[in-house]
Amino acid sequence: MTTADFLVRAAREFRRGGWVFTGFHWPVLAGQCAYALPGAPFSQVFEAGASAHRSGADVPTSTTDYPAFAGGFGWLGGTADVLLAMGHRFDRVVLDAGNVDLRGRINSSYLGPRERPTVRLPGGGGAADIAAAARELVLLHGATDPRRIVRAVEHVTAAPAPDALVRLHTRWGVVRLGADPRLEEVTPDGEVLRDHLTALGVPVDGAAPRPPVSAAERAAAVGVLRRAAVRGYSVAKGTDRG
Amino acid sequence: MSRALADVVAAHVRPGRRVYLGNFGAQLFAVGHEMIRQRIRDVDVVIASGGLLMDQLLGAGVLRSATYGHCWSPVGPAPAWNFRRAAQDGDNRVTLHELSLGLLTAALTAGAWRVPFMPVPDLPGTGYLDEDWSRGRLSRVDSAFGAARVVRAERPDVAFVHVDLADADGNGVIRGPLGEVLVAAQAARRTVLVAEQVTDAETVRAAGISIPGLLVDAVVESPGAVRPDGAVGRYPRDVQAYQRYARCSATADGFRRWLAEEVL
Repeated sequence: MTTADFLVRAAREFRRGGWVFTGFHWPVLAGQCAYALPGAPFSQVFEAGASAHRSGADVPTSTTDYPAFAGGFGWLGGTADVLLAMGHRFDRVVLDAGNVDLRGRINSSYLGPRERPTVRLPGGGGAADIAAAARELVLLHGATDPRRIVRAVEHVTAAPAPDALVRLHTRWGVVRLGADPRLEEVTPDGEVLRDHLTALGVPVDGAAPRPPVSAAERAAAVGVLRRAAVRGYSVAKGTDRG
Repeated sequence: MSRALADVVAAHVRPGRRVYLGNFGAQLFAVGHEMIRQRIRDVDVVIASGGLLMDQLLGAGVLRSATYGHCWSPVGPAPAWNFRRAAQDGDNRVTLHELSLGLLTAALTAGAWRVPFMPVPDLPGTGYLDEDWSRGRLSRVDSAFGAARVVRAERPDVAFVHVDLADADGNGVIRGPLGEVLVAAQAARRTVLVAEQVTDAETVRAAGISIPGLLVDAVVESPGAVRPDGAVGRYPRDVQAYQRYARCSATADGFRRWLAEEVL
């Protein structure tokens, strides 16, 4: 799957409507792309205490790139409001998941081999708070190597509540994570994900084909990615903060 | 109340002091760089969104400890190389107390309320508990009302808070989300506003006061104080400067050259 198609499918999560907590990196791009897609109205909420209701003048370099939102903020509050008081109310929480395991736990940075990070750095920010509070957690795994999806991550930055609905978007399909992980949707070129999940003991039979991406949707995503490239984003290799 | 930044930093930042540096996403690089220029050492920094400012303070040898939420570059995102080198080398000269942003804000709230700790949502299965990333800042209490995870109160000696506008009485306007800055100003023994512009009281009131002068001990006018971060309505985040720092600081020698050219 192309990066643009991955972005469109992630953006559709926003277009399901409602209040969507938006984390760093891929979620920012997906949120920006979503404004150009059809679907239900949605509001984004960021961890420093702000909601946004339209696309930025520039692609924000992060959720804290406030000038890029250029007057697009609605509600303004603080970190505790979002992470501690309102986290359980969001319709969806969308987070980047560079390194993720079958239970939906995240290590947002690593040092050492990707399959077995040996040192955890350098901080998870608000991911732990919001993941623990989320009713529905959507994780975006933009990496081009499925081996960063592992049986169990070490040095857990964020862990969802046991009863949360957790779904992982990858370039090859969508994986339901948690106590009963399984492949839910798969792309025609998704063999690499099927094989990797099978090796991890995850059922892959019965996965639905991923809905197609229209030319207009793809064009919207390409536009966001082009704008993101001049805003410092490194979107080809996923997210490495360490 | 309005004073020069160098004077205020010299007056409030000393070895052994706990110094909160705001803001979340608009980091006070001007204050941090002044600390570096004045060659202040052994500072205990409290910085929620650590980012490159924390990385620079680490690399310049300013810090004794850091209480923080994360330390990486939001542009890219990219590593904070001084932080990474210290971790790779096992260099633990700076004591790191990592808290999630929610827990750090709760710790400041406890400081503001003058209570020893604050109950917080639990984070089971994470390294905050399983690996004690906070290094002793989390505990558990039993009470007549139930048991709860708690975080130790954080009370900085001084808080530096970035505002867009301020008046001579210390009332300040923030044109974006507050992050944890209001509660940090409430928790700190002293608060310094670093303003893009100092103006008259009427203008400040009309814009909406975010930080009341009641909390503020000094005001400094310092246009561009958060560059290379951006300030809403004034200047954008400088992506090229972030990228240049990432390139230069990838080696220790490169960082030292960057520091000499850009800060010292």
